[in-house]
Amino acid sequence: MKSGLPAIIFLVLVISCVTQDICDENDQSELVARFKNGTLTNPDDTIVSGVTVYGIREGQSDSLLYDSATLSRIILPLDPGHGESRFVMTFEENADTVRILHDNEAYLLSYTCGFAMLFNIRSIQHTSHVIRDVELLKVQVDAELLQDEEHIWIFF
Amino acid sequence: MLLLLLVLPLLLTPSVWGQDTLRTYGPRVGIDVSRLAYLFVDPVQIGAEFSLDAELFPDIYPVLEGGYTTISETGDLYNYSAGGTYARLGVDYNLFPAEDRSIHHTITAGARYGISFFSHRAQQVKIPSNYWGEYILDSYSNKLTGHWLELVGAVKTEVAANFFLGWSVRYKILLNPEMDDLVTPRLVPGYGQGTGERGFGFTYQILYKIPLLEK
Repeated sequence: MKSGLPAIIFLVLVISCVTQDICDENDQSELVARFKNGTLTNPDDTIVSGVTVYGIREGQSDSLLYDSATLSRIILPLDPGHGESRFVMTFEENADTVRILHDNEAYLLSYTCGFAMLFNIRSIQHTSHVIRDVELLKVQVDAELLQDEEHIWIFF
Repeated sequence: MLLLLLVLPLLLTPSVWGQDTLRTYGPRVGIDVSRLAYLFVDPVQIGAEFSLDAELFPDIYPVLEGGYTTISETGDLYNYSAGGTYARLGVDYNLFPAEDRSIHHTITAGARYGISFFSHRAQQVKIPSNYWGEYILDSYSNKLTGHWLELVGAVKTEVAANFFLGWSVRYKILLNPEMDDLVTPRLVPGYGQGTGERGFGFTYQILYKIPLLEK
């Protein structure tokens, strides 16, 4: 019993350190856009080459999310500081702008990891040089990215 | 130290045996001195708790407990505070009634319904975005009501005429863990951590019975 108490105290200290200091949860809320051919009722997965994407960040230099990549989907971080996120997407030579309007709500991931943003997509607007249509599948975008999760389909 | 506190009521019992041959009845008020221990264990948490009970029927003690707790933490990612009042209403049943009328010690089993009205708030909330840059939300706050049930085992010992020491252990079941969809409260006053749908509690009380009736 005499040696038991220090051991318990030690164990409690170790456990409390371990649980407080490590955060291995994702805290980035990102939207998954899958590329499609065909129609909404009869969609086909497609792979697009020469994809370059960047977000329009007011007052900051452009930073490419994708650079001449060949892809079947893109993952877009949404802007937690504004009610919309705008992206310029270039497919080979032709470019489109996609504007995603969203409501933002902060939510707690855990006491260790802090907060992330929950986006509720209100609507999506786009130019139509290459992109034929954009279909919204899942309105909520949070930091918990599931396997094979898709938020929007981009039709070509 | 803890062990000593738990055993103390039992060690002190022989001194009061046989002091009063009459049995006194009346409302008993108590304070939970284990709250003071939080000042050392979890100094961000401050609170006070009282209790009121009476043996209205033989061996049956209706109980009202009430209190107030606040918590306040500052961190790199956010500052958090919560606080509010709570009440628990229930009954204790004396499992081992003493045959000697002068002995007032009890070992009870009981149940409580608890309700807490409180608010919580996060300030200077940092929301990370690797691409767009960190966004700082000034404030998030919400007013909440928590409900829970408790099973209570307790020992109370009369250490001097009408003065009692007692402790209790409690198993708690939170009835509405989803009270805030966005931010699970760090503290539900009177219950404990809002992140757990089950919890344990402990009180250590000093009580005084107001001797209104003598039979």
